[in-house]
Amino acid sequence: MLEQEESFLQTELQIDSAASSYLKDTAVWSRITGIAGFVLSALVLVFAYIYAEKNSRPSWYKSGGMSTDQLVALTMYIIIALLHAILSYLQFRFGNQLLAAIRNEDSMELNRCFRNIKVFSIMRGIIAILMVLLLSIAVIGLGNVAV
Amino acid sequence: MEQGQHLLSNELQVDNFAQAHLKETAMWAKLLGIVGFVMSALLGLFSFFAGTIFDNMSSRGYAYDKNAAAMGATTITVVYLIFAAIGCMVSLFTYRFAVKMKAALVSSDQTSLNDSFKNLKLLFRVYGVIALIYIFFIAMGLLFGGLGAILSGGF
Repeated sequence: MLEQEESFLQTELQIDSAASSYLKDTAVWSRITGIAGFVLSALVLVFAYIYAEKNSRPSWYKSGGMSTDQLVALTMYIIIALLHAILSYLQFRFGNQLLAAIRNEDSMELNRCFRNIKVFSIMRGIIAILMVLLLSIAVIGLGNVAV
Repeated sequence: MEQGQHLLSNELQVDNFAQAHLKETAMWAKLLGIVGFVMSALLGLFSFFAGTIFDNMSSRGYAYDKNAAAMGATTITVVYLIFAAIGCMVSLFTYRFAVKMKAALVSSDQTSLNDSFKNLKLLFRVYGVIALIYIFFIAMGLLFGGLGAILSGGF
């Protein structure tokens, strides 16, 4: 029984005092980043609104509507703001759940927070892949124009 | 025996579910780290060509004078190099987090797990500081922009 317990203690990874200290710090910064991210997303949305308001004035544009380029820019602003808001929400939730898990020593909450950071990483990974693809297309396009 | 029970009851265990989540997180984090390194290297490389690009722009009439173009090129080179260095640092923490986490999960190594969480802490700290600096600059921009508009009678 004792041997079994010792073996269990040796093979199972734990959140010991050092890991707990690191994770607490991570949670605090994650919450700060999450809140800052919400503020930045809101600012991007405000700028998008100002952009749309300014460019849809009849005096500025003959037909009173936005051109295709302006619509694309506005859509990009909104997509960036929404993606940023989702990432910030995941970060904020990760921070909250991590703090709760450590405070209450709740393994279910710990699992939920690790699931959150997994989703956060997957989203960031997909965004990074898309960015690399877009950059490659832009470089190929510029190369073709130069040739 | 009592000590063992005490440890079991008081310390959070990284169970199978948590390990599965952390394994996938590490996989994506490794990818993010590698992509980050490549992007930072490209940005650093690009920063050195900013001068040439600005010179070309100047000769084609896009910039008004060569002095302004040269000053702009130097500033852009420095700014891009700073961005590249920050990107490299973030990628390093992300990559280290991933590698240490993978090692911890494969060999059930507590030290690697702690090192991995230490890198995660550093990563989130850098994110937080960058976000705060960004908000500070935006606030300053809005403040001085607003003040400028008021003083010049824009409102």
